[in-house]
Amino acid sequence: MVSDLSKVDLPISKANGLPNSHYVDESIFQKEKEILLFNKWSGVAFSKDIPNNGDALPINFLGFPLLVVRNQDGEVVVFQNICRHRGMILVNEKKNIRGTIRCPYHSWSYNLDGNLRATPHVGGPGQNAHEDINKKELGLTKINSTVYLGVIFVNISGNAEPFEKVNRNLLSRWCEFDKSLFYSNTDSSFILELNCNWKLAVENYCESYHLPWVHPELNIISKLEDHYNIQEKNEFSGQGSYVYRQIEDEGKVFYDFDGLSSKWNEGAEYIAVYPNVLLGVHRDHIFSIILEPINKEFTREHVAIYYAKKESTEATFSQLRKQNFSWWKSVLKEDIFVVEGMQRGRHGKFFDGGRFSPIMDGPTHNFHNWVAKEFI
Amino acid sequence: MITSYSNDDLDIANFELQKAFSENDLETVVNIYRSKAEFDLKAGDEKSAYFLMTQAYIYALEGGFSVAKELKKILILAGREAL
Ligand code: FES
Ligand SMILES: [Fe+2]
Repeated sequence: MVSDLSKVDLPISKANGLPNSHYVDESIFQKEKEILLFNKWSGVAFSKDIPNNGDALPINFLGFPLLVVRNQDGEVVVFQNICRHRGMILVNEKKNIRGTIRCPYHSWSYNLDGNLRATPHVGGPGQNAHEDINKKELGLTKINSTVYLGVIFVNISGNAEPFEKVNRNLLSRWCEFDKSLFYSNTDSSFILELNCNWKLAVENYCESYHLPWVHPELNIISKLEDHYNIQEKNEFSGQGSYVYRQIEDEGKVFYDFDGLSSKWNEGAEYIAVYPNVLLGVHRDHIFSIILEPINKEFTREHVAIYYAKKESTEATFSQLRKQNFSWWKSVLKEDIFVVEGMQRGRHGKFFDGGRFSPIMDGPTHNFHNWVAKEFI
Repeated sequence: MITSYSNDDLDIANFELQKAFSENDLETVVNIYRSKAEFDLKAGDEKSAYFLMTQAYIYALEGGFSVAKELKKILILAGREAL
């Protein structure tokens, strides 16, 4: 199917949104997988998923087998999760590796930096070397990766510009939050299942236009006028709030990040980092969301909350954490019916991509512009 | 450590090995392979010895056991592993 994107690029007051095919067509989904996800920096896991040195987590990202590892120096490294011998999947389930990653098929063994350490019986029984098998050339294939705000990003194609360059404006905008984060294992992550294309979750996240209707409970403390649009061409879009109020329980609040400027006393920002990561920052905690596209009309939304200070993750704060967890979970659940409703709407063949509010829909239009630019 | 292997002893070793694998007790796996390898070496059966020594080495690597170094050295000296 061809997709006509000529209307997407027009100024917002004249533009249409992305055509239906970008949400319901299999060949376009496959093309977007390569162009928008594999060629870019996609979020695939959280740093909290591999807290200890030696932790290894296999991930199937849109069919691509990844192995996310914390090596013995505590750094995150990502490999293609397959053996250089016969292409066997190396690690099948999350585990802690004390020595080498041993392939379960013929036991070629790799260290956590991906170097091939042993090739048992490769030269015949009991003969573990062969002149034609050069271990130095047969290490695991490394996938470029970086960690930002608790999310492990990968560039599968290897062709993207460095993460810091692509996202330089975000990194400088939020430099005050780019520090150690703390995670509480028992009450700080959840997964939502969305019957929609992953892009609809991005689009809904980055606009505030829907807040008074979809999240009516916000109207008193956080009115529409208290929000502003955020849009950086080809990089990200989102919304900010001037009225963030800390969750409190009998005067107790979470600890703040050190050294925040006063802007953040009551400020909060929510940004969709293209393609598939949604982030939110506040004075005392952040959250990170990874949209895992499963197929063209199904997405898994992985949510993790990180705190600014270690103390906030301790038992004395468990009540407050519970409140924070329930708060975000209920807000994010309120969005499910709209992203799923828009997905079903994409099967109405007379829909033309829709028209935007020239004032309110800038962030969504910005995302569509990015998709269109990458796609053409 | 067993110093000679009758058929019964082999059955026992085999049983112990299976048990160790099922319990994911790699340390025991390494020990069983290694002692049988050393026995075979003494008995002059190099073929079997270095096969089993390799098994011991690979599981020692997997477990991150320091004995892996020693086993590697044994294999290198026997011309069974590259530096
Ligand atoms: S496929 Fe991995 S060792 Fe053969
Ligand atoms: Fe929402």
